[in-house]
Amino acid sequence: MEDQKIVELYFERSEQAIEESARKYGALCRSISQNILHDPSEAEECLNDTFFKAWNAIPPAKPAHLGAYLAKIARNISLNRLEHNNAEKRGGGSVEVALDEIENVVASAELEAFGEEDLSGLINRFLSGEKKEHRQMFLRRYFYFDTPAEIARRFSMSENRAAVILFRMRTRLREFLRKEGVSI
Amino acid sequence: MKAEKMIRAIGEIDDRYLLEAAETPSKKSSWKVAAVAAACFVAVISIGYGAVSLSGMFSAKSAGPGLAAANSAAMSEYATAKEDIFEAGGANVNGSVSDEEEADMLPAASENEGYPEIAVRDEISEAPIANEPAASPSAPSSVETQTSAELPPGMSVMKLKSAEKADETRWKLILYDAQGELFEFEMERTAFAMPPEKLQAGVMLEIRYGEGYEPVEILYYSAE
Repeated sequence: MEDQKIVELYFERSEQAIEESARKYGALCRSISQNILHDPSEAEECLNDTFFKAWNAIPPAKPAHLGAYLAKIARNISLNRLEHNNAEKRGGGSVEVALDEIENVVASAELEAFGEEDLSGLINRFLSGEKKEHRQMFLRRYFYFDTPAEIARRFSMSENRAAVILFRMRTRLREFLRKEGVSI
Repeated sequence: MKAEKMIRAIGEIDDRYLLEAAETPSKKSSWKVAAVAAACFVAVISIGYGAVSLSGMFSAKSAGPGLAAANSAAMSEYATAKEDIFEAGGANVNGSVSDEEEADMLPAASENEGYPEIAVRDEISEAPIANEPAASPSAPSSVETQTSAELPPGMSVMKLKSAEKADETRWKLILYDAQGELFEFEMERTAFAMPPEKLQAGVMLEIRYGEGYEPVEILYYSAE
């Protein structure tokens, strides 16, 4: 079913909207939650929360890209849950490793002055200047939290190559942020 | 935490990019691979013929002119195919290489799933590095005889262009990589096995990389 039609179902308050959303985007949202939490039961709960949140938000929200909208909700819910779970411990999971990698980009950066929206805008601009494949790889790693091995498989390349491409993207992002006035 | 703020900011990225990343990437076209294979095949045949001709197994009178013409045509075809590949974006004709190709030249990544934490100076100095050559950090002269091919994964030797103090604790290094391109990074003073003040332009530094290919240690250096 087309995204527009599903959104219309939300507006009509038809529960079929949830079914159709789950059918079309359930796997995507579940994989995001699973990558973040590494727990199928928690991922399932996050999936339910995602659709519940979407149900409450639409209307008035009218997402142009339902898949991306639901993916963002699933990601935020999962990150919040991870934060809650890891309040006292910090392990070597995929998200923690991704955080470490990003930490190197923003180490000692003066980000306080930048809101998330400002930063998103900068990252958008940075990504717009990157090759499509590199952009996809970056987001697979830092939005969907795929491991480098998964990214390598997805893009039919060696893990080494994927790691180097991501490292260089982080270096370029760091340089880009520096030029844009984020003191690093 | 700054990294978390960045991760959250990435979560608000443009929908188009998220959808683009969610889609299955198209398989790379195999024509480039086929063209390279064909060019290599032609080159091998040509070289083989050349070797055979030089060894005098064929008479120049009987087969020479015909085969020479075929050889010439084959070489021309090879050159054309090679140009096509370069123009298609594989690499620049002037010899510089793309990120992807350069990545293949770099040491293989660890077999470990995900990235382990980056080792800290004390751990390195206390415990031997896996696959590290017998040379100790106090024996800089061993670098002179060590080629990149002999280095274990995660290590490389680079020539220093300049080193300067970035702040109280960090040093900024500018180095030439194997392709002669400039490579710049900053490192904590504690990551140097010897005082960075002693670094001089032109010395060869042995660099150890973390799993994300960030330089994590300067193990030792020697004159070029």
